[in-house]
Amino acid sequence: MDEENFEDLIADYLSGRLPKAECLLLEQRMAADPSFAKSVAETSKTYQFLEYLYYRSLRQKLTDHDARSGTNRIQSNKWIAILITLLLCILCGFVWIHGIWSAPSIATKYLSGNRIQKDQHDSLSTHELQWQIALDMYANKHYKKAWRLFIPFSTQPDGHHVRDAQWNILLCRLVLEGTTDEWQTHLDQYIMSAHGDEKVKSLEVKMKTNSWLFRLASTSWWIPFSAIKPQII
Amino acid sequence: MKTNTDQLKTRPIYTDEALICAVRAGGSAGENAVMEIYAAHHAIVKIWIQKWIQHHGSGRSDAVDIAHDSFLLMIQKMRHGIEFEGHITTFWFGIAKNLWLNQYKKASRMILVKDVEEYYEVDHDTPERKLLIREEFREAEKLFNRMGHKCRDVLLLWIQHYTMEEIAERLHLSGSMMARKIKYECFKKVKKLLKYYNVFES
Repeated sequence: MDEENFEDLIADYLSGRLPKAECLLLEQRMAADPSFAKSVAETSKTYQFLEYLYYRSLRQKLTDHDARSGTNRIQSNKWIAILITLLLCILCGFVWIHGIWSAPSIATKYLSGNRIQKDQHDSLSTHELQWQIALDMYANKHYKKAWRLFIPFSTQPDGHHVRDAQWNILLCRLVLEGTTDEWQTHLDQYIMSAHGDEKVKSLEVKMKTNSWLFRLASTSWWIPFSAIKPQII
Repeated sequence: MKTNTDQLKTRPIYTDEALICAVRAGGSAGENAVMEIYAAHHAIVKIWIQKWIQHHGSGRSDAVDIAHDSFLLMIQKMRHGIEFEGHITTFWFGIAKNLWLNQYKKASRMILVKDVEEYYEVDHDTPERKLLIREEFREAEKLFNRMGHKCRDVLLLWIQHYTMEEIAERLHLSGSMMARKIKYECFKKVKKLLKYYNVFES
Protein backbone atom coordinates (compact mmCIF):
# COMPACT_ATOMS: atom_id res chain seq x y z
CA MET A 1 0.00 0.00 0.00
CA ASP A 2 1.56 3.35 -1.01
CA GLU A 3 1.49 6.28 1.38
CA GLU A 4 -0.97 8.34 -0.70
CA ASN A 5 -3.58 5.61 -0.56
CA PHE A 6 -2.74 4.99 3.09
CA GLU A 7 -3.96 8.51 3.98
CA ASP A 8 -7.20 7.97 2.08
CA LEU A 9 -7.67 4.60 3.80
CA ILE A 10 -7.24 6.15 7.26
CA ALA A 11 -9.56 9.01 6.28
CA ASP A 12 -12.23 6.51 5.26
CA TYR A 13 -11.64 4.51 8.43
CA LEU A 14 -12.00 7.56 10.67
CA SER A 15 -15.07 8.92 8.86
CA GLY A 16 -16.81 5.53 8.98
CA ARG A 17 -16.72 5.01 5.22
CA LEU A 18 -14.47 1.94 5.22
CA PRO A 19 -16.34 -1.35 4.84
CA LYS A 20 -16.47 -3.46 8.01
CA ALA A 21 -14.30 -6.26 6.58
CA GLU A 22 -11.52 -3.79 5.72
CA CYS A 23 -11.87 -2.16 9.15
CA LEU A 24 -11.30 -5.54 10.78
CA LEU A 25 -8.23 -6.18 8.62
CA LEU A 26 -6.80 -2.79 9.51
CA GLU A 27 -7.41 -3.29 13.22
CA GLN A 28 -5.88 -6.79 13.10
CA ARG A 29 -2.77 -5.44 11.40
CA MET A 30 -2.54 -2.59 13.93
CA ALA A 31 -2.68 -5.11 16.75
CA ALA A 32 0.01 -7.25 15.14
CA ASP A 33 2.37 -4.51 13.94
CA PRO A 34 3.21 -1.74 16.46
CA SER A 35 5.06 0.40 13.89
CA PHE A 36 2.02 0.24 11.60
CA ALA A 37 -0.21 1.15 14.58
CA LYS A 38 2.03 4.12 15.29
CA SER A 39 1.81 5.24 11.70
CA VAL A 40 -2.00 4.93 11.77
CA ALA A 41 -2.12 6.94 15.01
CA GLU A 42 0.00 9.72 13.49
CA THR A 43 -2.10 9.87 10.33
CA SER A 44 -5.26 9.83 12.45
CA LYS A 45 -4.04 12.79 14.52
CA THR A 46 -3.16 14.69 11.36
CA TYR A 47 -6.59 13.92 9.97
CA GLN A 48 -8.18 15.12 13.23
CA PHE A 49 -6.16 18.31 13.02
CA LEU A 50 -7.46 18.94 9.49
CA GLU A 51 -11.01 18.21 10.66
CA TYR A 52 -10.46 20.69 13.48
CA LEU A 53 -9.42 23.29 10.87
CA TYR A 54 -12.46 22.45 8.74
CA TYR A 55 -14.86 22.94 11.66
CA ARG A 56 -13.10 26.19 12.55
CA SER A 57 -13.60 27.45 8.99
CA LEU A 58 -17.21 26.21 9.01
CA ARG A 59 -17.88 28.09 12.25
CA GLN A 60 -16.48 31.22 10.60
CA LYS A 61 -18.83 30.64 7.66
CA LEU A 62 -21.80 30.42 10.04
CA THR A 63 -20.79 33.67 11.73
CA ASP A 64 -20.44 35.35 8.33
CA HIS A 65 -23.85 34.01 7.29
CA ASP A 66 -25.42 35.40 10.47
CA ALA A 67 -23.75 38.75 9.93
CA ARG A 68 -24.98 38.89 6.33
CA SER A 69 -28.54 37.92 7.16
CA GLY A 70 -28.47 40.33 10.13
CA THR A 71 -27.27 43.13 7.84
CA ASN A 72 -30.04 42.31 5.37
CA ARG A 73 -32.60 42.49 8.14
CA ILE A 74 -31.24 45.85 9.32
CA GLN A 75 -31.22 47.08 5.71
CA SER A 76 -34.82 46.03 5.14
CA ASN A 77 -35.85 47.55 8.50
CA LYS A 78 -34.14 50.79 7.46
CA TRP A 79 -36.11 50.93 4.21
CA ILE A 80 -39.37 50.23 6.04
CA ALA A 81 -38.57 53.09 8.46
CA ILE A 82 -37.83 55.43 5.54
CA LEU A 83 -41.08 54.43 3.83
CA ILE A 84 -43.12 54.97 7.00
CA THR A 85 -41.48 58.39 7.53
CA LEU A 86 -42.25 59.34 3.94
CA LEU A 87 -45.87 58.25 4.30
CA LEU A 88 -46.17 60.21 7.54
CA CYS A 89 -44.68 63.30 5.85
CA ILE A 90 -47.15 62.95 2.99
CA LEU A 91 -50.04 62.54 5.45
CA CYS A 92 -48.94 65.59 7.49
CA GLY A 93 -48.55 67.57 4.25
CA PHE A 94 -52.02 66.48 3.18
CA VAL A 95 -53.56 67.61 6.49
CA TRP A 96 -51.64 70.92 6.44
CA ILE A 97 -52.48 71.79 2.85
CA HIS A 98 -56.09 70.77 3.26
CA GLY A 99 -56.46 72.61 6.57
CA ILE A 100 -54.99 75.93 5.38
CA TRP A 101 -55.03 76.14 1.61
CA SER A 102 -58.22 74.42 0.49
CA ALA A 103 -61.20 76.51 -0.69
CA PRO A 104 -63.46 75.55 2.30
CA SER A 105 -60.69 76.59 4.74
CA ILE A 106 -60.29 79.97 3.01
CA ALA A 107 -64.06 80.41 2.89
CA THR A 108 -64.39 79.64 6.62
CA LYS A 109 -61.57 82.00 7.53
CA TYR A 110 -62.78 85.03 5.50
CA LEU A 111 -66.54 84.89 6.22
CA SER A 112 -68.08 88.36 6.61
CA GLY A 113 -70.82 89.14 9.12
CA ASN A 114 -71.29 88.64 12.86
CA ARG A 115 -73.04 85.48 13.92
CA ILE A 116 -75.35 85.79 16.93
CA GLN A 117 -76.09 82.96 19.38
CA LYS A 118 -79.31 81.06 18.60
CA ASP A 119 -80.87 81.84 22.03
CA GLN A 120 -80.80 85.53 21.10
CA HIS A 121 -82.53 85.02 17.73
CA ASP A 122 -85.98 85.77 19.26
CA SER A 123 -85.10 89.42 19.64
CA LEU A 124 -84.09 89.82 15.95
CA SER A 125 -86.20 91.24 13.16
CA THR A 126 -87.25 88.95 10.30
CA HIS A 127 -84.64 90.54 8.02
CA GLU A 128 -81.83 90.03 10.57
CA LEU A 129 -83.05 86.54 11.32
CA GLN A 130 -82.79 85.60 7.64
CA TRP A 131 -79.24 87.00 7.61
CA GLN A 132 -78.30 84.91 10.67
CA ILE A 133 -79.83 81.79 9.07
CA ALA A 134 -77.73 82.42 5.95
CA LEU A 135 -74.60 82.80 8.09
CA ASP A 136 -75.46 79.60 9.99
CA MET A 137 -75.90 77.73 6.70
CA TYR A 138 -72.51 79.02 5.59
CA ALA A 139 -70.85 78.11 8.90
CA ASN A 140 -72.34 74.61 8.67
CA LYS A 141 -70.83 74.28 5.16
CA HIS A 142 -74.19 74.30 3.36
CA TYR A 143 -72.70 76.68 0.78
CA LYS A 144 -75.36 76.11 -1.87
CA LYS A 145 -78.24 77.04 0.46
CA ALA A 146 -76.23 79.90 2.01
CA TRP A 147 -75.53 81.30 -1.48
CA ARG A 148 -79.27 81.37 -2.27
CA LEU A 149 -80.03 83.06 1.05
CA PHE A 150 -77.32 85.71 0.52
CA ILE A 151 -78.63 86.70 -2.95
CA PRO A 152 -81.57 88.88 -1.71
CA PHE A 153 -79.23 90.75 0.66
CA SER A 154 -76.72 91.48 -2.12
CA THR A 155 -79.32 93.02 -4.46
CA GLN A 156 -80.81 95.55 -1.98
CA PRO A 157 -79.19 98.88 -2.97
CA ASP A 158 -79.53 100.45 0.49
CA GLY A 159 -79.30 97.22 2.50
CA HIS A 160 -77.22 96.85 5.61
CA HIS A 161 -75.47 93.62 4.53
CA VAL A 162 -74.93 94.26 0.78
CA ARG A 163 -71.13 94.23 0.82
CA ASP A 164 -70.97 91.31 3.26
CA ALA A 165 -73.50 89.33 1.19
CA GLN A 166 -71.59 90.00 -2.07
CA TRP A 167 -68.37 88.89 -0.41
CA ASN A 168 -69.91 85.75 1.11
CA ILE A 169 -71.44 84.81 -2.26
CA LEU A 170 -67.96 85.08 -3.81
CA LEU A 171 -66.66 82.72 -1.13
CA CYS A 172 -69.56 80.27 -1.68
CA ARG A 173 -68.77 80.28 -5.39
CA LEU A 174 -65.08 79.71 -4.63
CA VAL A 175 -65.97 76.54 -2.70
CA LEU A 176 -68.59 75.28 -5.15
CA GLU A 177 -67.16 76.32 -8.54
CA GLY A 178 -63.50 76.94 -7.90
CA THR A 179 -61.45 79.84 -9.30
CA THR A 180 -63.17 80.20 -12.67
CA ASP A 181 -62.44 83.17 -14.97
CA GLU A 182 -65.81 84.63 -14.14
CA TRP A 183 -65.11 84.33 -10.42
CA GLN A 184 -61.73 86.02 -10.89
CA THR A 185 -63.42 88.91 -12.72
CA HIS A 186 -66.00 89.29 -9.98
CA LEU A 187 -63.31 89.20 -7.30
CA ASP A 188 -61.33 91.91 -9.13
CA GLN A 189 -64.48 94.02 -9.36
CA TYR A 190 -65.05 93.54 -5.63
CA ILE A 191 -61.45 94.53 -4.87
CA MET A 192 -61.78 97.68 -7.02
CA SER A 193 -64.81 98.80 -5.03
CA ALA A 194 -63.50 97.72 -1.60
CA HIS A 195 -61.95 99.92 1.09
CA GLY A 196 -60.04 99.39 4.33
CA ASP A 197 -60.37 95.92 5.89
CA GLU A 198 -62.52 94.70 2.99
CA LYS A 199 -59.71 95.50 0.53
CA VAL A 200 -57.04 93.81 2.70
CA LYS A 201 -59.21 90.71 3.12
CA SER A 202 -60.08 90.42 -0.57
CA LEU A 203 -56.46 90.92 -1.63
CA GLU A 204 -55.37 88.18 0.77
CA VAL A 205 -57.91 85.78 -0.77
CA LYS A 206 -56.75 86.72 -4.27
CA MET A 207 -53.14 86.10 -3.29
CA LYS A 208 -53.98 82.77 -1.66
CA THR A 209 -56.11 81.52 -4.55
CA ASN A 210 -53.26 82.34 -6.96
CA SER A 211 -50.66 80.37 -4.96
CA TRP A 212 -49.43 76.89 -6.01
CA LEU A 213 -50.45 75.45 -2.65
CA PHE A 214 -54.08 76.41 -3.34
CA ARG A 215 -53.81 74.84 -6.80
CA LEU A 216 -52.34 71.70 -5.21
CA ALA A 217 -55.16 71.59 -2.65
CA SER A 218 -57.71 72.09 -5.43
CA THR A 219 -56.50 69.30 -7.73
CA SER A 220 -58.94 66.55 -8.42
CA TRP A 221 -57.20 63.87 -6.29
CA TRP A 222 -58.31 65.68 -3.13
CA ILE A 223 -61.99 65.38 -4.04
CA PRO A 224 -62.53 61.87 -2.64
CA PHE A 225 -61.11 63.07 0.71
CA SER A 226 -62.89 66.44 0.77
CA ALA A 227 -66.17 66.96 2.61
CA ILE A 228 -67.22 69.60 0.05
CA LYS A 229 -67.88 68.37 -3.47
CA PRO A 230 -67.50 71.14 -6.08
CA GLN A 231 -70.59 71.58 -8.20
CA ILE A 232 -71.77 74.12 -10.75
CA ILE A 233 -75.00 75.89 -9.91
CA MET B 1 -27.35 8.97 -3.61
CA LYS B 2 -25.45 9.95 -6.72
CA THR B 3 -28.55 11.54 -8.18
CA ASN B 4 -29.14 13.54 -5.01
CA THR B 5 -25.61 14.86 -4.81
CA ASP B 6 -25.57 15.66 -8.53
CA GLN B 7 -28.76 17.66 -8.11
CA LEU B 8 -27.26 19.61 -5.23
CA LYS B 9 -24.36 20.71 -7.40
CA THR B 10 -26.74 22.48 -9.71
CA ARG B 11 -29.78 23.52 -7.68
CA PRO B 12 -30.88 23.57 -4.04
CA ILE B 13 -32.75 20.56 -2.63
CA TYR B 14 -35.01 21.04 0.33
CA THR B 15 -35.76 17.50 1.49
CA ASP B 16 -33.95 16.43 4.66
CA GLU B 17 -32.93 13.06 3.25
CA ALA B 18 -31.29 14.54 0.18
CA LEU B 19 -29.42 17.11 2.26
CA ILE B 20 -28.17 14.48 4.72
CA CYS B 21 -27.07 12.23 1.84
CA ALA B 22 -25.18 15.13 0.33
CA VAL B 23 -23.47 15.99 3.64
CA ARG B 24 -22.41 12.35 4.01
CA ALA B 25 -21.14 12.20 0.45
CA GLY B 26 -19.10 15.41 0.88
CA GLY B 27 -17.58 17.37 -1.98
CA SER B 28 -19.12 20.51 -3.37
CA ALA B 29 -22.63 19.08 -3.00
CA GLY B 30 -21.92 18.39 0.66
CA GLU B 31 -20.55 21.88 1.20
CA ASN B 32 -23.67 23.40 -0.38
CA ALA B 33 -25.92 21.11 1.64
CA VAL B 34 -24.27 22.14 4.93
CA MET B 35 -25.00 25.82 4.27
CA GLU B 36 -28.42 24.93 2.87
CA ILE B 37 -29.33 23.20 6.15
CA TYR B 38 -28.03 26.10 8.19
CA ALA B 39 -29.79 28.76 6.12
CA ALA B 40 -33.09 26.88 6.15
CA HIS B 41 -33.28 26.04 9.84
CA HIS B 42 -31.01 28.32 11.88
CA ALA B 43 -33.66 30.95 12.60
CA ILE B 44 -36.20 28.57 14.11
CA VAL B 45 -33.58 26.57 16.05
CA LYS B 46 -32.12 29.76 17.52
CA ILE B 47 -35.60 30.82 18.67
CA TRP B 48 -36.15 27.40 20.28
CA ILE B 49 -32.76 27.55 21.99
CA GLN B 50 -33.43 31.08 23.20
CA LYS B 51 -36.77 30.02 24.66
CA TRP B 52 -35.21 26.92 26.21
CA ILE B 53 -32.47 28.98 27.87
CA GLN B 54 -34.99 31.54 29.11
CA HIS B 55 -37.23 28.82 30.49
CA HIS B 56 -34.57 26.66 32.13
CA GLY B 57 -31.50 28.71 32.68
CA SER B 58 -30.04 31.85 34.00
CA GLY B 59 -29.13 33.22 30.59
CA ARG B 60 -25.45 32.47 31.01
CA SER B 61 -25.16 30.93 27.56
CA ASP B 62 -25.60 32.72 24.29
CA ALA B 63 -28.18 31.08 22.03
CA VAL B 64 -26.10 31.82 18.92
CA ASP B 65 -23.00 30.10 20.34
CA ILE B 66 -25.04 27.06 21.39
CA ALA B 67 -26.67 26.99 17.93
CA HIS B 68 -23.26 27.08 16.21
CA ASP B 69 -21.70 24.45 18.49
CA SER B 70 -24.65 22.11 18.14
CA PHE B 71 -24.76 22.62 14.36
CA LEU B 72 -21.09 21.64 14.05
CA LEU B 73 -21.73 18.56 16.17
CA MET B 74 -24.73 17.66 14.02
CA ILE B 75 -22.70 18.00 10.83
CA GLN B 76 -19.95 15.87 12.38
CA LYS B 77 -22.53 13.17 13.14
CA MET B 78 -23.96 13.34 9.64
CA ARG B 79 -20.48 13.06 8.14
CA HIS B 80 -19.83 10.02 10.32
CA GLY B 81 -23.01 8.45 9.02
CA ILE B 82 -24.94 8.38 12.30
CA GLU B 83 -28.58 7.55 11.61
CA PHE B 84 -31.35 9.57 13.17
CA GLU B 85 -35.09 9.71 12.85
CA GLY B 86 -37.26 12.80 12.61
CA HIS B 87 -36.70 16.26 11.29
CA ILE B 88 -33.30 17.96 11.09
CA THR B 89 -34.46 20.81 13.33
CA THR B 90 -35.53 18.37 16.06
CA PHE B 91 -32.18 16.60 15.89
CA TRP B 92 -30.27 19.88 15.94
CA PHE B 93 -32.32 21.19 18.85
CA GLY B 94 -31.82 17.91 20.73
CA ILE B 95 -28.05 18.30 20.48
CA ALA B 96 -28.31 21.97 21.48
CA LYS B 97 -30.36 21.11 24.57
CA ASN B 98 -27.81 18.52 25.70
CA LEU B 99 -24.93 20.89 25.00
CA TRP B 100 -26.56 23.57 27.08
CA LEU B 101 -27.35 21.14 29.91
CA ASN B 102 -23.72 20.07 29.87
CA GLN B 103 -22.55 23.66 30.11
CA TYR B 104 -25.04 24.22 32.90
CA LYS B 105 -23.82 21.13 34.67
CA LYS B 106 -20.22 22.26 34.43
CA ALA B 107 -21.14 25.73 35.63
CA SER B 108 -23.22 24.61 38.57
CA ARG B 109 -21.33 21.38 39.32
CA MET B 110 -24.49 19.34 38.92
CA ILE B 111 -24.84 16.04 37.13
CA LEU B 112 -27.81 16.35 34.83
CA VAL B 113 -26.96 14.28 31.77
CA LYS B 114 -23.98 12.44 30.40
CA ASP B 115 -21.44 14.37 28.36
CA VAL B 116 -22.89 15.13 24.99
CA GLU B 117 -20.13 13.34 23.09
CA GLU B 118 -20.67 10.30 25.26
CA TYR B 119 -24.43 10.60 24.79
CA TYR B 120 -24.12 10.43 21.03
CA GLU B 121 -21.17 8.00 21.07
CA VAL B 122 -19.01 10.00 18.71
CA ASP B 123 -15.75 10.54 20.49
CA HIS B 124 -14.14 8.39 23.10
CA ASP B 125 -11.53 10.93 24.22
CA THR B 126 -12.03 12.40 27.68
CA PRO B 127 -12.84 16.13 27.70
CA GLU B 128 -9.50 16.95 29.36
CA ARG B 129 -7.57 15.06 26.73
CA LYS B 130 -9.58 16.71 23.95
CA LEU B 131 -8.82 20.09 25.47
CA LEU B 132 -5.10 19.33 25.57
CA ILE B 133 -5.12 18.30 21.92
CA ARG B 134 -7.08 21.42 21.00
CA GLU B 135 -4.49 23.61 22.73
CA GLU B 136 -1.75 22.01 20.64
CA PHE B 137 -3.92 22.28 17.54
CA ARG B 138 -4.34 26.00 18.12
CA GLU B 139 -0.59 26.46 18.24
CA ALA B 140 -0.12 24.30 15.15
CA GLU B 141 -2.84 26.23 13.30
CA LYS B 142 -0.80 29.43 13.47
CA LEU B 143 2.08 27.73 11.67
CA PHE B 144 -0.25 25.91 9.29
CA ASN B 145 -1.67 29.25 8.13
CA ARG B 146 1.84 30.21 7.01
CA MET B 147 2.12 27.16 4.77
CA GLY B 148 0.45 28.93 1.87
CA HIS B 149 -3.00 29.10 0.37
CA LYS B 150 -2.64 26.15 -1.96
CA CYS B 151 -1.77 23.67 0.78
CA ARG B 152 -4.48 24.91 3.06
CA ASP B 153 -7.12 24.91 0.32
CA VAL B 154 -6.25 21.45 -1.01
CA LEU B 155 -6.25 19.87 2.45
CA LEU B 156 -9.47 21.58 3.55
CA LEU B 157 -11.23 20.42 0.39
CA TRP B 158 -9.84 16.91 0.76
CA ILE B 159 -11.09 16.72 4.36
CA GLN B 160 -14.56 17.60 3.02
CA HIS B 161 -14.32 14.56 0.74
CA TYR B 162 -13.92 16.50 -2.47
CA THR B 163 -12.64 14.23 -5.23
CA MET B 164 -9.24 15.03 -6.72
CA GLU B 165 -10.98 16.07 -9.96
CA GLU B 166 -13.16 18.52 -8.03
CA ILE B 167 -10.15 19.91 -6.16
CA ALA B 168 -8.24 20.39 -9.42
CA GLU B 169 -11.20 22.13 -11.02
CA ARG B 170 -11.93 24.33 -8.02
CA LEU B 171 -8.31 25.44 -7.51
CA HIS B 172 -7.48 25.63 -11.25
CA LEU B 173 -4.80 22.93 -11.05
CA SER B 174 -3.59 21.10 -14.14
CA GLY B 175 -5.36 17.86 -13.19
CA SER B 176 -6.29 15.33 -10.54
CA MET B 177 -2.74 13.94 -10.43
CA MET B 178 -1.39 17.36 -9.58
CA ALA B 179 -4.06 17.77 -6.88
CA ARG B 180 -3.15 14.36 -5.42
CA LYS B 181 0.54 15.24 -5.42
CA ILE B 182 -0.05 18.56 -3.66
CA LYS B 183 -2.31 16.88 -1.10
CA TYR B 184 0.34 14.23 -0.38
CA GLU B 185 3.15 16.78 0.03
CA CYS B 186 1.03 19.07 2.19
CA PHE B 187 -0.19 16.20 4.37
CA LYS B 188 3.42 15.26 5.02
CA LYS B 189 4.20 18.86 5.96
CA VAL B 190 1.30 18.96 8.40
CA LYS B 191 2.46 15.70 9.96
CA LYS B 192 5.88 17.25 10.50
CA LEU B 193 4.25 20.31 11.97
CA LEU B 194 2.28 18.26 14.47
CA LYS B 195 5.41 16.30 15.38
CA TYR B 196 7.08 19.62 16.13
CA TYR B 197 4.26 20.43 18.57
CA ASN B 198 4.47 16.94 20.15
CA VAL B 199 0.84 16.21 19.30
CA PHE B 200 1.63 12.58 18.57
CA GLU B 201 3.20 12.07 21.99
CA SER B 202 0.34 13.62 23.98
